[in-house]
Amino acid sequence: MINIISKRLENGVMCYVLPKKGYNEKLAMLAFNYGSRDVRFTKEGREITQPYGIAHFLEHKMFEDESINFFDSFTRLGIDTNAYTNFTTTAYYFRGCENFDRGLTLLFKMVGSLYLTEENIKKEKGIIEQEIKMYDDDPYWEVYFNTLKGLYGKDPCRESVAGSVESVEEITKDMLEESYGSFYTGENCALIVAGDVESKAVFEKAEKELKLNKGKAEKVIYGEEKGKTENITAEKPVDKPVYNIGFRQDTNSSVEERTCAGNVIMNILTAKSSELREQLVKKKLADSTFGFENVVGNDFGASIIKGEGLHYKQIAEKITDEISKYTAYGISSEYIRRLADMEKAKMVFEAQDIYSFASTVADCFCKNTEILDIYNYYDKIDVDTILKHIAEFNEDNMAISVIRGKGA
Amino acid sequence: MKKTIIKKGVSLYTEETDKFDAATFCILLRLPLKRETATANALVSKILMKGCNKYITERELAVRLEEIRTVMDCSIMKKGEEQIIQLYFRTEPEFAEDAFELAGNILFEPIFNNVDEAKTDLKADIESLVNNKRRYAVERCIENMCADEAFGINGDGYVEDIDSVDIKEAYEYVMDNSDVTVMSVGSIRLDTLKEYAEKYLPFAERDGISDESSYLARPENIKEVEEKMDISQGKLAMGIRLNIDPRSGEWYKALVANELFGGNANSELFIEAREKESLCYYISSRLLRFKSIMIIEAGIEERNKEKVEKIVEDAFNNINDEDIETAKTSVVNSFRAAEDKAERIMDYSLGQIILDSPPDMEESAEEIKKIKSVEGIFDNRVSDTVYMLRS
Repeated sequence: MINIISKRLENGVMCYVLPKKGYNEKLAMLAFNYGSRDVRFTKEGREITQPYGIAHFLEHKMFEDESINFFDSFTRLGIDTNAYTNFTTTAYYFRGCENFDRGLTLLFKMVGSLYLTEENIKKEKGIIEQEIKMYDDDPYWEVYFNTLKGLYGKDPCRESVAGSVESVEEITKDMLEESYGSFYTGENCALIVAGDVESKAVFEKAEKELKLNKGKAEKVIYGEEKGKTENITAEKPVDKPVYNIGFRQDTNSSVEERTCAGNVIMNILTAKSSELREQLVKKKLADSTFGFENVVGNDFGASIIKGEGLHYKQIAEKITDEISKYTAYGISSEYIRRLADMEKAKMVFEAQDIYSFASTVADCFCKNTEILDIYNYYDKIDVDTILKHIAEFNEDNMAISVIRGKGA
Repeated sequence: MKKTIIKKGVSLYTEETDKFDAATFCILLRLPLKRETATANALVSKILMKGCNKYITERELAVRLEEIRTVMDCSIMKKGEEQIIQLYFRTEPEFAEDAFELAGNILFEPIFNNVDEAKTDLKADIESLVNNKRRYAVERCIENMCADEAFGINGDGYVEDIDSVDIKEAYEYVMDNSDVTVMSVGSIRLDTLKEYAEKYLPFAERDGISDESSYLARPENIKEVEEKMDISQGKLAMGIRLNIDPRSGEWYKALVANELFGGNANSELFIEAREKESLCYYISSRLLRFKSIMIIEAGIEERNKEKVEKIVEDAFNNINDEDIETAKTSVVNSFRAAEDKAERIMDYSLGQIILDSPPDMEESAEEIKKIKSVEGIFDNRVSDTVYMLRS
């Protein structure tokens, strides 16, 4: 089952312990409610706009200190460490079978200060440039961001998490310090520990040792007015077209509702148990690459149907036809129950993996929800909720993004 | 994992544990990797997903899986010179018997109504490799490197062979000739599993499979292979023959030395190429045990290829015992951490079974702790292939 113990510490940090009895490995993660979309914010009355890719850049720089290379220090403790940045979250974590206590001290120390020099910033730009070029060669990455560009005219979710070579070039020491001071604060932070640990000891240690700045910068809530969507096609070396058919979500319902309803609807449209999928496969329009991704943020969201092949336009038509069938004739509540229960089972299966469990908890923290609220929301999902959200899958909300081979 | 022989050529490996909420099990059909049968075997893995006598379409099968809250997958693995069909299930313990029953339906009562769809799926799998440029570079490196060995054969098969496969024949070949290994990790007890296996998986006796691949190779010349594609960043993949017996204690030394060489973010390669020279975002090395091969991969600017090759050569010369304790801990921990994941427990055991090498993860960890020095461990290496995908 999904077992979780939580407590808010005095310094504002939200602390979660995910007990995993009998596990050899322990994992600790510090997640900040700060991601690639947070390039605009207000701090002490000032409005600040920063270059794309800054949250990710900062993530890279946290591993260095004046006298310490944190990778090295963690490795010496027999611990693996890494970090990631996405739209809403920057998270640092380590995992290991021993020295957990010392690892935790080191993790606290690592995020507790920032060490920047002109030289180490310049060096990092070279590394990040290669990271961006790696993504440039990944058609699945590009097709995904082009979908978000097609759905959103302004929202920073349209920009790649690492930014562009040009935007990264603009990043300066002052900007990094500003973003660190604004977002790496107690109130903006969650500590997540998974493994065979005593929650009380974790809470006490964090209370004592985790020192973060106070305060909180105000993020800009974009909540972009729905504009006209745009279909985007790009050329890259691929064996056949790689496509995304994205639908913008209405963001006026809760994150829990949109997550659960979104996943259930996507299963109705794309899972192997789906009638639509069966038809598409029979007609040779879709194949085993057909699938989905449900992106849910507080003030943005996209339901993306993806696959590979030539027939994306016909698939898009069939999807909207199928939706009108459901809106006209309804949908059986047993079917929705079955899908919702399957989603719950999958959440439990995924929670067996300490990393996937912790990153889901981090993701929930940055969206002001809890993993159990989402888990339990599946019980509330009914025909009306599904019909309400399925109506968003219409042409006005749709953008098709395609990567195809040169000259194809 | 504990081994129980059900009958000749059919064995059950179990790890009883209450650590996990889910029950995970798989049926592995192990076959020798051959060019003539690779595509046919791969296609069998696809047709099994397309329905069975009781659930005649892929959709009906999927509905059944949802009813019993079970995740299933059927995939092809290439391990050493074996091609293995893995039918994998993860379920809630209360549905374990239903899942076994379904596994039996799928394996023993397949229907061949949807052969075209299975062929389309296999073709898509093979062709889409090029979309993942990193994996593509590594696969092409291995393909060139092992062109004259079974290990160079694509485990997913070949597009040009798909049309001519007689699926019924292929299915019968797999069912009659594969070595059958059933594995289970979770709370289901051994006697229950034996009962399920005997009831739902009535495999006949068969000869087992034995690994005949050679780990020794000393090519005289380095193969330099280049391919062009319209890409932003060059993808370098280097294949090195280590000539270390994967069944010997020396292999554990190789694992430790690889940590120091390019196995993590504190290794020679990572520090020199990325942290000091800013030449790349990713660079790493890993070992392919069954063939005693090291693969190094990096995403770099094409003009920096020689610089990176130089760093690789220097890194081999710089491995020493200074940080050996750290590297040992790291390898030991990866074994211990593997015990927290059902898939990794099964994967490790499968490797041991293929090598006919008994130690379990704990014993392996003990062996590693005893290592005193790794210096000279890569001295018998020979560079085999340098592959570069460039624009």
